Amino acid sequence: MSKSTDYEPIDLIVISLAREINDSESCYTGIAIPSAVVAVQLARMTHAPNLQFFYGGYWINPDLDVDLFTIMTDTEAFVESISKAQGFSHLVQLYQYWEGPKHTLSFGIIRPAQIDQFGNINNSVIGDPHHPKFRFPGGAAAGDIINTCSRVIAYVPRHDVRTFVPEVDFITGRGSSPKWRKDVGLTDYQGIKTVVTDLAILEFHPSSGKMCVRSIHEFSTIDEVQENTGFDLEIPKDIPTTRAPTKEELDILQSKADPLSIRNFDSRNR
Amino acid sequence: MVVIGTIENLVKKVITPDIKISFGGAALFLKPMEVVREIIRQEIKDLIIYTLIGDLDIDLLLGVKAIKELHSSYVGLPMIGMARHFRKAMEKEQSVDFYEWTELSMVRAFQAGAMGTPAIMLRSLLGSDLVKLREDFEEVTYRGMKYIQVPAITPDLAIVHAYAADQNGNVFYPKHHALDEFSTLPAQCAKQLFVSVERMITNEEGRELIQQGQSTMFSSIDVDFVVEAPKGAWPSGFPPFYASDMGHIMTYSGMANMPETFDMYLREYVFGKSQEAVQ
Repeated sequence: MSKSTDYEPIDLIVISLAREINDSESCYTGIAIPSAVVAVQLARMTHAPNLQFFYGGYWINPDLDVDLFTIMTDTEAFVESISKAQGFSHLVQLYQYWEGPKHTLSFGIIRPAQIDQFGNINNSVIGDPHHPKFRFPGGAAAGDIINTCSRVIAYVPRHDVRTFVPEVDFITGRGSSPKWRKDVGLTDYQGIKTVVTDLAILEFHPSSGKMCVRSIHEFSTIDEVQENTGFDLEIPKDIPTTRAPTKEELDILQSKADPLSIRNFDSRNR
Repeated sequence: MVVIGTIENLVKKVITPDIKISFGGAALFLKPMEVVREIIRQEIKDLIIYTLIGDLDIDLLLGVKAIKELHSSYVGLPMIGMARHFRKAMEKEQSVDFYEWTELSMVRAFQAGAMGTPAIMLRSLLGSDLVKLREDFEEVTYRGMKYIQVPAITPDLAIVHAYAADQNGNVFYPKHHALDEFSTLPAQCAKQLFVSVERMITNEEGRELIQQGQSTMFSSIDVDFVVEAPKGAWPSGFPPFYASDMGHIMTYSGMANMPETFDMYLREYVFGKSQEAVQ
């Protein structure tokens, strides 16, 4: 970290995720990844008030001023969260939008434990699957989202060589390779388009499908980004700097979108 | 014919080694925890378990080595961390055959089981290594389109926790809580249904609930066994009646770390009576 800022890296992750969201889109996020729900709420409170949001498959467009932890630990807060949602979704109702008859959701947000240069993700296992060195909890819906949402936004709270590997140990969800998606008939679902980390924002080359740098944060250097990535990134000649959070974004994040700072569950010291 | 009995008697009668069981609930909500504790008290082993999102239920059973085969999309303690016995069973002991599904494929397989179709096709698993690990997952082409075909899930028994049951075995749970599908889906695919309820009610009380606008979650024809287990989902949450007891789950997470403290946990909260004090 070469430059001090008046915000934390996790703030920029959340704000950058929110900026990936367009108004009037539809989306899903799971319940176990706090920065995802904060980013969606921030987008709804700023530039995307007409977003259609399935939260965890229960709440539709919730106006939550409490976080999920509170909802789970406080029955009154749970009941209140229902009254503050515009709707309430059953699992099978949500799945109408995943391969079902309804329209495709615009995007989903995931947090991969491992990601490789072609956007394959691993949330399952390191080493022999039957005799693993490390067993992650499992992909839950991450693999489904990659092949059922129009695009996927990923975030990685700590950008390092353990997460960014040349080839994932195990493919829980298949990557962004345009050729593979064409071969199996999944061109409507682009896979991961953007990866937001605490050092940079990454994307995938439209034809090769290989990961490249879109921008680096004002407090990181390109050497730092490359050193913490286990493969050669495609780096543009003039590297843009990620737009710093505006005062308005920071204010709304801190006062309304995440007053209890649940995004800090995702914060990792460097 | 619905059998209403005590949790001791009916668990002993119904849950036998090698039985295939689907659990209701998911992610620290609506789990049939008192039945899980009774399974541990009776030292029943060699279970085959299906659960959409495994949490404390699975980690406790793995801690006493009661599961030989496990199917789930995720096993952890949501918001808190890793499930320690799950990792230990996988990484150190290789004591359980774990089959990872995705959420969508597992729900579709529950639905296929309920429909009586032997398998179902879906696309979200395309390209996933989860398919390579499974002899019963198959890439198929139907009308020029690629799919992964997965087998229906058809457990011998589903175990779910609900609010109330009347004397005929009609089971109630407030309707507006969309979480109920986490329990109805695993129930509808199983041959038999075992329900624990917060309280038994009279048939008159059941009719009053219906007049108040509630519907049955399961009607008596769906139900095989009913036991009363107040606070039976604890420490998982049972909205709108009680929330997940995250403080307790954090205590568990700490005590599950070492065999000695895990034994203390079992003595205190599974074999002991202190859980009543908590309640």
